[in-house]
Amino acid sequence: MIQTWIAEGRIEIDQARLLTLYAAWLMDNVGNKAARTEISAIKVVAPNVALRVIDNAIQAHGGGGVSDDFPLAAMYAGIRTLRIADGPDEVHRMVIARRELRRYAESGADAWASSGAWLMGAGPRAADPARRLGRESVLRVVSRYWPATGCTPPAAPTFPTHPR
Amino acid sequence: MDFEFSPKAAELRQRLVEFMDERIIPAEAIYRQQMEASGDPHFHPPVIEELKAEARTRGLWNLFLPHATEWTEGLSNLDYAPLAEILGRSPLASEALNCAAPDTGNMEILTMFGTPEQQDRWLVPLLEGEIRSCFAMTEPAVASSDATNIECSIRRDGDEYVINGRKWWISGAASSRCKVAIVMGKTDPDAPTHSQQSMVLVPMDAPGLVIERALPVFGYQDREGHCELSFNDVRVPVTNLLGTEGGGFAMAQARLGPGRIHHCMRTLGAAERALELMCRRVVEREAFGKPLASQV
Ligand SMILES: Cc1cc2nc3c(=O)[nH]c(=O)nc-3n(C[C@H](O)[C@H](O)[C@H](O)COP(=O)(O)OP(=O)(O)OC[C@H]3O[C@@H](n4cnc5c(N)ncnc54)[C@H](O)[C@@H]3O)c2cc1C
Ligand SMILES: Cc1cc2nc3c(=O)[nH]c(=O)nc-3n(C[C@H](O)[C@H](O)[C@H](O)COP(=O)(O)OP(=O)(O)OC[C@H]3O[C@@H](n4cnc5c(N)ncnc54)[C@H](O)[C@@H]3O)c2cc1C
Repeated sequence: MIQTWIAEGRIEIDQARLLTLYAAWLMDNVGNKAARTEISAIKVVAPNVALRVIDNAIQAHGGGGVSDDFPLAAMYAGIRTLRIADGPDEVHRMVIARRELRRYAESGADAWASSGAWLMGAGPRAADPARRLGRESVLRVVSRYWPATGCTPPAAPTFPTHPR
Repeated sequence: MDFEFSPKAAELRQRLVEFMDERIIPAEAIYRQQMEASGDPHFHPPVIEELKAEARTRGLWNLFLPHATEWTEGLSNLDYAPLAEILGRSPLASEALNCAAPDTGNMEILTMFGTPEQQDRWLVPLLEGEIRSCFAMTEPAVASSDATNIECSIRRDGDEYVINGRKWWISGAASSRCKVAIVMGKTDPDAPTHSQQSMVLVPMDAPGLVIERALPVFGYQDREGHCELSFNDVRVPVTNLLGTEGGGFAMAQARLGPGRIHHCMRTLGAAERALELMCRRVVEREAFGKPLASQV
């Protein structure tokens, strides 16, 4: 059990950190507006991850964990407020879901999503500058690792353009 | 995208880690003694000022602003993020580096929208770490997670604005060093939804501004204090308007972007510290014949 807590803690903290760095990168390179989904996402993820880790750490400390001999109890109280302050979790999830759904309110999006082209970011999301950059970095990764597969990389990778 | 530390971030990170190990973490016990001895949960312990002076001489000061300004070089969000995570390891660190909320967001807003007079009066002392500030949006009477609900009245009367309303959870307001509030309210309740609100700078000693109480969090009274404030015919000159009339909502949005990166990275720093405490504890403590770390 204790090893599971430790492993889960390591996994979740590292996931949350990467997502946060990605949001920071988007803000620096594309702008705060393009990073709205990611900014809301980290606002939900980071406090929830931290609360799980702290709760497990309290449990592992036994009675000491809930006292003020260790900083864990105060940390828990402080971080619990972050699920409310500066926008409750539910509001951030609403922002993310609305932005995600908006893409499907446009006609023609469904057919596109099921065509497989979304894999390379060419679907409805491609209209978003952040997604376009995402696609370009996939391209960079593809071209960097392509030689290792023994295949010849396409001279200029081509992508289907959005039908509309 | 590349998450490698830039040379600048790597260098600052190294300096910050040393500062944390050499000064901040050892200061936690002193901080606690000074707070307990004072008997005042909102006391400003001298150890904080010592840490601030030291941080400044080490070039670890005002690192939070993402854009270059007249006063600071600017550090990208990606460069600041790993520093914020380290700051999150101790509740003393952010203030020691003058990188603590809500001042960071307020200073950012003042660099972007403040007039030169407002910057001289409020921004410069904030950047110098001489005063603190608060941001007053949330209200007890309305669901404030929907900012369009905010109903505090900011009515123009000649050369002045008259402010009436009640706010709560205003972090930082309990400190005697908090000298100014950025107050969000409605200047035009009949305008389109997102243009009704404005922000005004209100000195904390303005007549009619009353600190009603500091709210506890799970029974803890935080040092900065989360206060309920009432505004009873508080008057400020119209020159205290921040940005434009009706621009409050948009400025509130702008204020939150980088702040979220800071908060999240600090939170992950706290999570790292909790994980570390857990690991240390379970390797050194035994139950049922083996270390807790080896229990299934
Ligand atoms: C509010 C409160 C009131 C209390 N009142 C009393 C009282 O009146 N009298 C009294 O004598 N004591 C009292 N206690 C103490 C309480 O009984 C102990 O805290 C409890 O028995 C755990 O012991 P410990 O704190 O030493 O934790 P530890 O024994 O150090 O255990 C720490 C953690 O290790 C893990 N662990 C331990 N064994 C195993 C295992 N076999 N497998 C997997 N994981 C394991 C658990 O997660 C556990 O929480 C009280 C505690 C609290 C918080
Ligand atoms: C420690 C602390 C410090 C704070 N500091 C400040 C500060 O310095 N300045 C300031 O102005 N404010 C501050 N706040 C206030 C904070 O920003 C608000 O509490 C927050 O915005 C939520 O507003 P509310 O409390 O009115 O909750 P409400 O808006 O009443 O929401 C209550 C609950 O309703 C649910 N809910 C709301 N909207 C939705 C939705 N769309 N979908 C689903 N569920 C929903 C959520 O579960 C939410 O938690 C602070 C709060 C805390 C706890």
